[in-house]
Amino acid sequence: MNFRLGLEVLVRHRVEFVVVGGVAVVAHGANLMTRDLDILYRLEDTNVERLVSAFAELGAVAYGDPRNLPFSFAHLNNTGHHLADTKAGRIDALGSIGLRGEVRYETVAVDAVEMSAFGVTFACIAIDRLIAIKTELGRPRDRLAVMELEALKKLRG
Amino acid sequence: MSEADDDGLRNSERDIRFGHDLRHVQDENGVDLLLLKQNLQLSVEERLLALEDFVRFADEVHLGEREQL
Repeated sequence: MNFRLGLEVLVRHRVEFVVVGGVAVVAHGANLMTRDLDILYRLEDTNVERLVSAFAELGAVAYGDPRNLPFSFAHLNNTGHHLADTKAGRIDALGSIGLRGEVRYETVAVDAVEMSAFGVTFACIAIDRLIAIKTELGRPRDRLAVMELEALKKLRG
Repeated sequence: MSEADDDGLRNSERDIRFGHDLRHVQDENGVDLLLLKQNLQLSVEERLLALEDFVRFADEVHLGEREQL
């Protein structure tokens, strides 16, 4: 994974997104092994076009398919989970998150935390919202993240 | 050192070489609190770079294991 490249390209293309998932867990200060950068992006025409451009620059192709299929506007303009192999490593572009896919960018962006790294500023999902979503998902890996995040909150006081 | 002093040190939290009191290191879920405290001293960039290093290390170990098969 090359977070510098992934974040720099997304920000330079002015994609509106919030970092969610395991990288958000780590960015907040907790410990979790993850190999992909999960982003929840705004489902709006201009923004999806920007994501298509960013993905093109990153050479993004659909993860798990040997045909190296690139992403078009039509592929990304929906609430699905778009898992991509890129020059920056795995980037999962999510049109929605949550147990029933009911959580969109607009909801998460409201209280997202602004973070800076590698010379760029980006939004990261708020720790309480991350805990709530991962608690609802409830998989063993999510529960592990929740335990780390809850401990982190206590330490911060 | 008398036997009494030695016992005192063994039971004391002052000298962790005799054994850590895990209540001071981990929470009830086994989360490493000392590690979290260290993480909080890092910038976001340093946390992400540390994750990259960890993934790279894990990949190298995995690759080594596959080559041995």
